[in-house]
Amino acid sequence: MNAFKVNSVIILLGSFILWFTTDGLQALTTEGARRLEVEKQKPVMPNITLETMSGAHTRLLNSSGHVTVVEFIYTTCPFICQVDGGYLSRLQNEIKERAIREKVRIISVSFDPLRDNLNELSYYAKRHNADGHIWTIARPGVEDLKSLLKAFGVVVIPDEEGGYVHNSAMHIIDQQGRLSFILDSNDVQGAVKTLERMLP
Amino acid sequence: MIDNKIKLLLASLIFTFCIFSRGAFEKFPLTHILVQLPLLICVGYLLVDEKLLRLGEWNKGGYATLLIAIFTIAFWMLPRSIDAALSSNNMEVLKFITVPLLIGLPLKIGWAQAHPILKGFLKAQAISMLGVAAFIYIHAPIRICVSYLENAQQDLGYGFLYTAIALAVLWSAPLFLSRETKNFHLQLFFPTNS
Repeated sequence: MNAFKVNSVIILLGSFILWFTTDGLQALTTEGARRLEVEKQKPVMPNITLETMSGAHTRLLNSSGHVTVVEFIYTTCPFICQVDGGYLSRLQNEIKERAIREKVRIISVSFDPLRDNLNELSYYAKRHNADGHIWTIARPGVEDLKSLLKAFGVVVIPDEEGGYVHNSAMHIIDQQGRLSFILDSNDVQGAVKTLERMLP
Repeated sequence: MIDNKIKLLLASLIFTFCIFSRGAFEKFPLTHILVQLPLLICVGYLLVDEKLLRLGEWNKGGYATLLIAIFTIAFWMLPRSIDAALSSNNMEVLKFITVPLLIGLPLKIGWAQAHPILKGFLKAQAISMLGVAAFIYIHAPIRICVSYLENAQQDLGYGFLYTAIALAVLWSAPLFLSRETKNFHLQLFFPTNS
């Protein structure tokens, strides 16, 4: 084999591997890959039971034809989750003014269900004006937490101040229980548009 | 040859050390990328003996082996590859195999045969790439790896920056030190009228 042939093969093979592992140069990061995969595959989410801030129980997937927006939080979060709470508050207000209001639920799900008792959840709701109707704050059972985060592809790591850092985003689950879109937490307008597209 | 045996022993020692220090090094991106990976590259480097250095016609100019190393480096430069190594055992094993065998080893073989101009090009490329990576990791408004914190990501950015500076100094130092070029460059920067 001469050098030219060998080099060509290496370049082709190398490019192919890089193309393949980056989904055609579209996703260089894990978060990018997660969003791309969700939009392509639309995986069905586990239908776990959540305890809402009022103590009621609700299922993650709702059978009455709602589209569900899920955001992961922990209420003792000093920064990001509070900012995200502000965005969801705006999203709630936008939805209230539109015809889709009967068909959309927003759930902030705590991934710290041991510390986030019902009081903490209600306090977080009060701070951000979650009305409990369109938008509620909820926590999963401890035993469901791991599989829930895995299904969504959310990675939670402890930070240096006793809190957590996580890939925060708005996860939109369609009427068939499939995770269909992942949007930046601050993309309120994008979320409204996506919801209106999903609910003609 | 006794020399090769020592190198082989050293390689296995470093490799074993990398395996046992996994938890400690992978806790921070700085030590993961700029300590563990270079050590694994050293392992491959030490595995090269005289025989491997003369690979034959297909590796003329060192291009084939350098290309293998470059593509493997590109793969492990992807943030999602590093995340995957942390979350999946298979990817972690893949890292421990490919970094020594597909980066360290072919880099050493290819480097030995590369033309000085190619070497200069690759050195310049490495420094500028580290500079770009430094900028991205220091200033990115998002977390690039989901497994690491944002301030740890900035530490890695500064690590890239200092590595780039260190390499620039290291690779330009010979201009002032080697017998042939020393006087020319000293005259250029510190002119004397003698």
